[in-house]
Amino acid sequence: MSNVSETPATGVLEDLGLYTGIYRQMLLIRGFEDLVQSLFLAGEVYGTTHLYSGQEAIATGVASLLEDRDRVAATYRGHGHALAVGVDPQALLDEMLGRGTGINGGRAGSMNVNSPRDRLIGSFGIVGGSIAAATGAALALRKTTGGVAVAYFGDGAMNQGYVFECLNFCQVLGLPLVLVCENNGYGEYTAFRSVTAGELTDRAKVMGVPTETIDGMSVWTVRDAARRAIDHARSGKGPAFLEALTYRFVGHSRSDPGAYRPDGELDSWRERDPITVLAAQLAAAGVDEARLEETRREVADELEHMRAQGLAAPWPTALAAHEFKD
Amino acid sequence: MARELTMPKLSDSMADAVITRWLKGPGEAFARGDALIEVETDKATVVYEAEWEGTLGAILVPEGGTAGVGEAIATVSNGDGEATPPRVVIPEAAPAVASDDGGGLPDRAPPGSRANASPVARRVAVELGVSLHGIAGTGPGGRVTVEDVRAAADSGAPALERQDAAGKGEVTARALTPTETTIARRMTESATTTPVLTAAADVDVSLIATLRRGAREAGEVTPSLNDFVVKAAALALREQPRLNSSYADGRIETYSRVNVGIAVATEDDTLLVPVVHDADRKTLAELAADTRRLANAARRRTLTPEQLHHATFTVSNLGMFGVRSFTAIVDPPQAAILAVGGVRREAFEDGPDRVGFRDVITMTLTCDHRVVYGAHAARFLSRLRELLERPLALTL
Repeated sequence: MSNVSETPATGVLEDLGLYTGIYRQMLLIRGFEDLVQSLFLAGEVYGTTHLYSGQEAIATGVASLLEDRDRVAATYRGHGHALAVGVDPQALLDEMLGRGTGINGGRAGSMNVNSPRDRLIGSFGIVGGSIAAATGAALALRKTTGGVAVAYFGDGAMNQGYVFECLNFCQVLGLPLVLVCENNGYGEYTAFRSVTAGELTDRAKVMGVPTETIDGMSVWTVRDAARRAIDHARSGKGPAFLEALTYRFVGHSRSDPGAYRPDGELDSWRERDPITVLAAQLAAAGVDEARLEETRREVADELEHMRAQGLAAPWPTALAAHEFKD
Repeated sequence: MARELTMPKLSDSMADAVITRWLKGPGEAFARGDALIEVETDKATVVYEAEWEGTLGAILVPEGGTAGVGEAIATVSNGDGEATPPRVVIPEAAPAVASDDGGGLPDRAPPGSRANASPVARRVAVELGVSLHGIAGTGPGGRVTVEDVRAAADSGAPALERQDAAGKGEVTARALTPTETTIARRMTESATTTPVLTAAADVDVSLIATLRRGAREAGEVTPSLNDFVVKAAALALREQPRLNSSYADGRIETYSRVNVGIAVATEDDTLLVPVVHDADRKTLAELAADTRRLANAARRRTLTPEQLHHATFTVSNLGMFGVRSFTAIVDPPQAAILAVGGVRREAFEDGPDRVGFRDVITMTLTCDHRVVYGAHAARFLSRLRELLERPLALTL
């Protein structure tokens, strides 16, 4: 926390067209999560879901810097990770709804989405599982395309032993791994500080891995730091570690009202809502408010359309289910 | 036009839930995000916030009522008489970027407000089918503790009604009776906290069968086979006090009285365990009269509390149902329970090249291994067998 400025970082938006696109992407993720929430309440979503609301700047910022040859391993809070690398939103929604048109045929649900052609090698229900998967990808990528592997994971994963095994392995072999720790303050229902000692970045520093702790609510800051991390990994110098401080605006999963959080904490983080922050930056940089409003309306319309499409989509066929079982 | 507010799905596994509080009343308007109802799901008590705006009409499921996911719980209208469809709402852009004097990142606070029941209390509440709602917590800050839940279960607190998912047909659910609640609690406590060991032995009861036949022919009141077993167990318990004991907080308590509980199935399909006090000091005839009286009172549900308490050992017999053998669950804090199977005719080698027949029962002893070890169990069964196979001592 000490490395982060008191005020949200608001650097110069170097490319307004790019950031307007990022704004749209973040709106889509937020709206997608609201839509999933609404459909969950209506009993239309199969299995549990973990929403990304509040953390959009991280996946969107990192993904905006990735090349076609790179790969991403997501967490079970992975809808944002998937949408940011280009997974079709309708196919992702259909997956939540258990439909045959889902990105994984309606059989992966929320927590196990993968889409290799979108560079998403998997979403991992095991806490920190993304790190091990990305380590394998980094090994393969160095031998093949020269891409980098990005692993997203939460603060809770930092107390898993294989974080250190993977980091050590990648550092020794100089593998192109970018670890992005989304520190949202809670491992499931447990406050970060009640289970984790010291600074997370120190754990990477002892292996000589470059680290940064950043404001995960500012997409500009995320891009700024992610660029350095990705460049480092791509240049063959081994892994880089980012700790992005953020907050989930909802409970851990849809069963969790989040009542363990102190009064007022959510409100103070909502003041740093990454979407609101970016909108203000865009407005300050001269983007017409009417243009932003139009973007919001477009995204809202797109989501309404997706809801109707998803609920009308066909179920998986018996044959497909049989093939899956075998 | 009125539309319906339906029960939302508020946990992964929720099929239905109890509305514990209505936070808006009939005729009251609400906006998106306003707290509408407090709901107790299978996982937690959750406040459900409105997904769209409207005005609450009639409440269809009152506080304390249960509704399945998707069932109407209230009617809703909005101002212009038109239904408002749920709509995805995107946050408005607002100039909220903090200026130089703006606050920094909010601190990661230490765990502050937590749910008001301990995880163990929640688990036990589910096991016992007790609703946490309405239990006054005695823990720190009014936290509901395991003891609170157990006390509530004993006092017959409102039980949760549960319905199963579709696919099993129509579901009828009822709350457990206080007796069933006690049974559920004690059996769960036993199965989850008692390390058990089980040993079985076959006993030749041919002589007892002959004795009983003789008594019946003489027109006397005949002690049942189970009376013989209870009497034998009582004598063996007096000789081997290790089984007439309890494990309690790192100590073994051994009792001077031998009180044998007898499991009785009642006509209303429940289970009661009346107690023959001082069974080791009673003659077989006294004991038989006692068990008959107790069993009748149990079936009529007229047992007094005194007749149900202070058992130091239990005998459970399913022989009359044709069961060959079974294992029973130790009734805590007792150290052991004897499960008795039915009489069967068995061939055996009765001298060289001769086959004889005898009446055999299988007795299965289940013990709390913190008190009764394998050798104790074996010695007890062996003595029991001796007494039953040479039953003269039992009849004196």
